[in-house]
Amino acid sequence: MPEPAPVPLARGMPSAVAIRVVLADDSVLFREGIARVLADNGFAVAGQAADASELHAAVDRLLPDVVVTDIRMPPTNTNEGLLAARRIRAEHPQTGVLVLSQYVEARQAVKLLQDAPARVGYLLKDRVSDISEFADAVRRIARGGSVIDPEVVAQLLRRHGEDTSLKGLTGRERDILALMAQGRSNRAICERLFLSPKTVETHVGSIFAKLGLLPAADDHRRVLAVLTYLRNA
Amino acid sequence: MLQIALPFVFLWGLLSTRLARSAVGDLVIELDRPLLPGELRASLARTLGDPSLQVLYPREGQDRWVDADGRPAPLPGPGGGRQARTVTVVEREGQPLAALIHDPALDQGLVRAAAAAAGMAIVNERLQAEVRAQLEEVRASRQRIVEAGDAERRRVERNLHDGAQQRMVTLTLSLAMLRERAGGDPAMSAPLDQAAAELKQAIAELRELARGIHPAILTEEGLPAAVEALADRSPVPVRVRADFDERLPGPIEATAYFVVAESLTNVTKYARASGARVALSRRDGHLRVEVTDDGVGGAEASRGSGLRGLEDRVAAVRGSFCVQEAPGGGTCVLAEIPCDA
Repeated sequence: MPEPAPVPLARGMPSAVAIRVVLADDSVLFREGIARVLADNGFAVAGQAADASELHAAVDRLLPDVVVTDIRMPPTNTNEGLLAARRIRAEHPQTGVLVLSQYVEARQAVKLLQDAPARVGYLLKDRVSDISEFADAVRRIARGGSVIDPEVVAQLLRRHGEDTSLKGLTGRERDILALMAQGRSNRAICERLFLSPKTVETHVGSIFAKLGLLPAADDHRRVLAVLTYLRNA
Repeated sequence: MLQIALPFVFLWGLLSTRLARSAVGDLVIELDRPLLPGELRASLARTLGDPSLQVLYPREGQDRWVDADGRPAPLPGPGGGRQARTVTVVEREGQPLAALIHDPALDQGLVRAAAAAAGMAIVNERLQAEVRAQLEEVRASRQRIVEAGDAERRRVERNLHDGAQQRMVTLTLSLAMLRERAGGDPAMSAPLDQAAAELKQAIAELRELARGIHPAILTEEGLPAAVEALADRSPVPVRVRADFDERLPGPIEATAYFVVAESLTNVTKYARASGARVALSRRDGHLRVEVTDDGVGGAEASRGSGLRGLEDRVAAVRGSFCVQEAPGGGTCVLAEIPCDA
């Protein structure tokens, strides 16, 4: 699965190619913090919103590359962020959405992936404190990938026990399965696990064969296939 | 004995002219046995020839009236028109004992005579109505207590989410920015890393606490979604089947959720099961919740405070609860909760 190399950017210097981001959260402090972090890491924060209607107005006006939104916002403080993600992905195919939440549920992750064709992410809110990981997640979404919180994947893997009950996957294959479920590309998996592209490809093929899954056409469909398998198996 | 303010001789005179003797005789004989709710009213209505006759009873020490089932029923106020009703209050020792609500065309004396003949049956039914009304009050108060508890749990979860959790997440962000500035200086970076790790752990603990108090997904997406989330977290594989997706009243959703949560906890802890099934269905104005496992069985509702607590909780929303042996071993927890919505 080929992936364009990230464009190196000078810190704190949004350039013409900087990823443009709109933030939505009802806490000004949190928004300001995220805005700082993103600006420091070469993103251009194009706008901010305190609720879903402000968010939609900002997206319509600014057409950002990525929206980073809290799941719970006024007026109902339930799942505005998820609904907004669905709508933005439908109305603006070029705008990706990263949904942040104080808690994560596998069901919501799968539903988000099903409803939105790629360019979506679902992360625990406190993941933002790992700045480089967070920035990486925003970049992956801007490039068309999907991002699923490791906790969602861990939740589902725990159900399958610590042994090799998951259709006889090896430990290494389990690690790779978890990374695939988080939306990592083969390239990213190589970098994480210090493996060659060839080795990763072989493992991925073996995992799909053992689980009885058809090879997925792209990373997004691969995430969905793996998560769905883990939830239902 | 029933005492009525009218002289018996006068009543008898009325009766002999307006009612056949046999009708009163029949009434006395008819009512001289244990009666089912409603039977007294039907007998009086038949004797007086007023099918719409109602019998209400005053609550003990209260200025309120109930029907034979103990359900609150107001006395009709004075009013004219075709719907006008007459209220005849039957007294005993100067206290109201019952009210007969009838067609104004009926003779007052005749109504009182019939009430006198019904005597002990009225006294008995009034006692029963009082007990039923008290039972209903206890049920309603138990339901209110459970609902208030749920509302409080939702409020606490919401406050944690908007307050402590949000502040802590913002704080991790501040720490992370400080940490970036500290760069490779170990005197600064080591304590900051430690603080960040502690904070991360605290956030995770608070998240689990909030989920235990009241799961956000239940408030946000309703019962089937929240039960699926339980299944996603269960160490024992759980299949969930729900034949509806709509929202139900909060207390019903919360009760059903806690039934499933507690039952799945028991499956994990005690059942030694290889799998469990949760079925949620709506039928005949009831929500049916069924949790079945294929484990060793032997669970009883009367033992273990968890199951006992569930039984009480389900009863508080007027539902029924039972724990039984599943076909082929294992345990089946079944709750049925009325829900008309």
